[in-house]
Amino acid sequence: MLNKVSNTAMVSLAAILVRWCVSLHPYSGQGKPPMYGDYEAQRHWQEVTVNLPLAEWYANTTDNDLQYWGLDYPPLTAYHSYLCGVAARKLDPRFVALHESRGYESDAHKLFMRYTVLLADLLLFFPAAYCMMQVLGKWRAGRQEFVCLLLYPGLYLVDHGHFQYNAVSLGLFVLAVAALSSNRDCLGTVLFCLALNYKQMELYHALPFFFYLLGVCFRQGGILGFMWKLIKLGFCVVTTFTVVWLPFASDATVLAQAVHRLFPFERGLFEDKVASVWCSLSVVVKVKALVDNKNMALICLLSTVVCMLPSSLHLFARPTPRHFRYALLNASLVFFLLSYHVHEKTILLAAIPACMLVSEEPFMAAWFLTVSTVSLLPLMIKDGLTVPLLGLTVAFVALTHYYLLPGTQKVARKTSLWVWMRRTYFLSLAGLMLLGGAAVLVPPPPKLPDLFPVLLAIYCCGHFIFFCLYFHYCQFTIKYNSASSNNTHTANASNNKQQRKVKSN
Amino acid sequence: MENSAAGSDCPSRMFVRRLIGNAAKSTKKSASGSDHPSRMFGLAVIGMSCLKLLLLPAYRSTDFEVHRNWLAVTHSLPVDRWYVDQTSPWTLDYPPLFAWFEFLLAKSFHTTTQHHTHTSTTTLHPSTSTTPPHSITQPLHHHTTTTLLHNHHHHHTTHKHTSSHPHTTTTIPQHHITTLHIVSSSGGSFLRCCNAGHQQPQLCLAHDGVVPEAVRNCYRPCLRLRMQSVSVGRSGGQGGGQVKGSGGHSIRVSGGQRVRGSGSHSVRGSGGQGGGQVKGLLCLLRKGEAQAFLFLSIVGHFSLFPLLFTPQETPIKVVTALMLHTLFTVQVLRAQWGQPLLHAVENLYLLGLVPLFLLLELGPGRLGLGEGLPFLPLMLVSVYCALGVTYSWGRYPPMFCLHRKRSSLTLDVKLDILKREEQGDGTSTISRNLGLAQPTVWTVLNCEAIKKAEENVMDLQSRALSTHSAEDE
Repeated sequence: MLNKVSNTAMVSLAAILVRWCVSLHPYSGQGKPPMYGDYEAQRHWQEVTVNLPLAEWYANTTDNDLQYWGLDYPPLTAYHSYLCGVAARKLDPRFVALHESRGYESDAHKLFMRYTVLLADLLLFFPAAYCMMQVLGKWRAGRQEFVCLLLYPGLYLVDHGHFQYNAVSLGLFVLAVAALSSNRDCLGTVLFCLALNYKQMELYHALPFFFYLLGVCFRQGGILGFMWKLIKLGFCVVTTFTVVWLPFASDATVLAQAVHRLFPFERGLFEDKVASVWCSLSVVVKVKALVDNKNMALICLLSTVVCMLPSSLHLFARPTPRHFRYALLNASLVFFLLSYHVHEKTILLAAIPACMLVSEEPFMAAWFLTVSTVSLLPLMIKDGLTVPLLGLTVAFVALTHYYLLPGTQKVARKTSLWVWMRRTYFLSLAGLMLLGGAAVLVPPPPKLPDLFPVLLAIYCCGHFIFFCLYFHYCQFTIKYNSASSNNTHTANASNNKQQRKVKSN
Repeated sequence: MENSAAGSDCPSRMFVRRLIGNAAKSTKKSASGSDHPSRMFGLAVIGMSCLKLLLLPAYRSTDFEVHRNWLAVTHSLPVDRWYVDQTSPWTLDYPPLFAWFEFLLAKSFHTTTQHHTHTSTTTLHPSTSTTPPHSITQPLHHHTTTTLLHNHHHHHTTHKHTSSHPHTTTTIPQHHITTLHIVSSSGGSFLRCCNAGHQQPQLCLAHDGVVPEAVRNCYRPCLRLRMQSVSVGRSGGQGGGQVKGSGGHSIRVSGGQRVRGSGSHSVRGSGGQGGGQVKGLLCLLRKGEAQAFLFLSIVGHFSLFPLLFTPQETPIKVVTALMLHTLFTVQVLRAQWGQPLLHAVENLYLLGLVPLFLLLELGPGRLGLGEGLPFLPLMLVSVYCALGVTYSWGRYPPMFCLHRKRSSLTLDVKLDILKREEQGDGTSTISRNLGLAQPTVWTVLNCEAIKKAEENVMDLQSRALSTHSAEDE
């Protein structure tokens, strides 16, 4: 009934509306001296980048105290902060006055910061979601991914509520996936390198990208094709990194210091109560006390790599866009569960690939997205964003049932497994409601002040392990036809091969 | 296609089919589940409720103190002092049922906050509460006040100390209208009205004087200010009265709205909103009404913009009120009635809202028109919207007059309708193409007499054909 353009426009407008409504709520660390929160960190980075020369941005100097929210993201974040800082200085120099603006809070400043996040969202994430929709439109999907990407609550609760700029790196990431899915490998590589240079957390997705592109290179047909593709991609990576890091490359110590800031090992195995395996284990076994940081980091690395290998190698053997999206989800879930120093917000790195799989696995992906949203509850309680989170979770579940699930028009078949699965789904939602309600309303016993956040974390961790296994299973059981048009690379490499039948969509 | 080919190997797809199958069985409908009206309604209710939850901080800044005071008054004081108490400038000025409602709310609020440090509602502080339960229940109680009373219309009275604009209107009579207010999904949900002051001396102390005192509190401002002059151009917005819908049913919109103070934006707006709600029901019956509804709703929405003047609310205003509503209404009505919906002049008028909006937001100073006219934007908005609303109102009487003429359809037209139906056109398509109302078409399609006449005609025609062919032979 409604045509596609107006549908897209309305979903976009609704997405902007919910984002702005969330931004009316408090941000992280509002009114909480001396350290405040992520909002103050972003403001501080604007102050540092605008007032100090580039060489001092990552260095510990008298003017730049790294203990107070030192810059610990790669240079693109620094450049972005610089741009925002310049705008801030034009509006009101008090926003970014060196030293004096520490802890500066005002309604006008909040408005300005919220507008910068919205602008970044509009410029990067919305077009990325739109491109994803266009690319997936080839395979009669895309609209549900578009809706999910824009209306998934976790992302904009963190960005527009807690206050971060995840939409920039995730937008670049989604654009990279869209580019790779439409056979624009060099563009995709450049975009992913940019995403990586915005937040080093994108390393969670680096392995699937690497194995996918390697698999593509191997399918080029002939050693020359392989070498040429490899050189092209390598050139893209090197150029992007050079362009981004060039201003820092003039001095080796500056570069070394910046890299050191990006990978801090002193921070510890996990922060707060996060739904990772180590945090859940530490309830039973005091992992932090048993093993020291360095060994723990090694254990994490080993376990992560071991668990990553199946999905990555499978992707290498079958480099299609569909496998690629599954592999992204699997990789980020494994990283989240087993990696070192995981934060609650890192679940977003797994949620976005899930949003891109929503038309393939509507039920499971939507279930995962709901659980991942509620897993942010402890963080949101601290920020005073409980009400938005609860309301938006309910709205998202409603969206699942009214839009995502009915969108797949298939005839139901009866299997006992799925009867059981449906009951589990409703039980799971009930459990989430119970635990969430308890975390919010029930005062915890005095001996265990973090009882409910920890219970919630363990509950979500169990879910994530289940989803990890399920999506691995899905990836391994995708019907792979090396001649299908979903796999456009083999269609191109027809020089030395025989003629193949290409299936049309 | 790979997706469907691989569909059989995807376990969750089978599960989805089962879910859908159950849903389809229970609703006895085919697999177009997303178009089912109850689904849309359910989704709309949940979506709007969620949105209102999100907007809670927007209420907190101004209304909280007023309601806190009313909660305190009803909770702590005996009944006969509710309308007499003057410890706060915000005296209770709604009728008694509202006061009893606040009393119940205060009771429930009191019991849920028993285990917190605040034990008396008179000592509640509106902000800076850090315990999560408190921060939820406070705004929720505050919120229920608005939603339950006003049926998704947040008409609120509060006093703006710091405001430089004399926004001064009231919606007192609307409290009395209660159930006759039609729920509409228009942007009226984001309204907040302001009140010009409750300072009236209270004279009566005796117990049996409570009733007249209550009445006087509620209506004194109205009685006093009816004397005030209402400038020309604004009375056009005094909405209400009775609107006769087609088919003879009439719906009372508002029992007469009073103007309090000198501003009347929201009166016009609420006149527009009031009108818009009624027309919301009627706009699906005739194209003319759809056009008028669309135009009026956009203008009415815009006229409410001056009320939401904090910078935080600008994107909300712009995105929701105008674009989402306009887009959605245009698309829905366009699907119903076909293009075009608005005349060129109306389109031009609506385009004129854009520079007006810029003027309103930026102020005349920044646009270089001088600092000496601070109320110029408001006045222009008032006048401009008044024109639009009056024009819209003016379109209705002719429509109703024309409606009264019972034009009967000829048999040819009726046969044409039947033929189109056989070709597979829906009633909406037929009504659109022939310029008739849908009920008319539906009646024709289902009327026995017409079918009999059709059979007779076809009989005659076939006999005529056979006689012709007989003659040819």
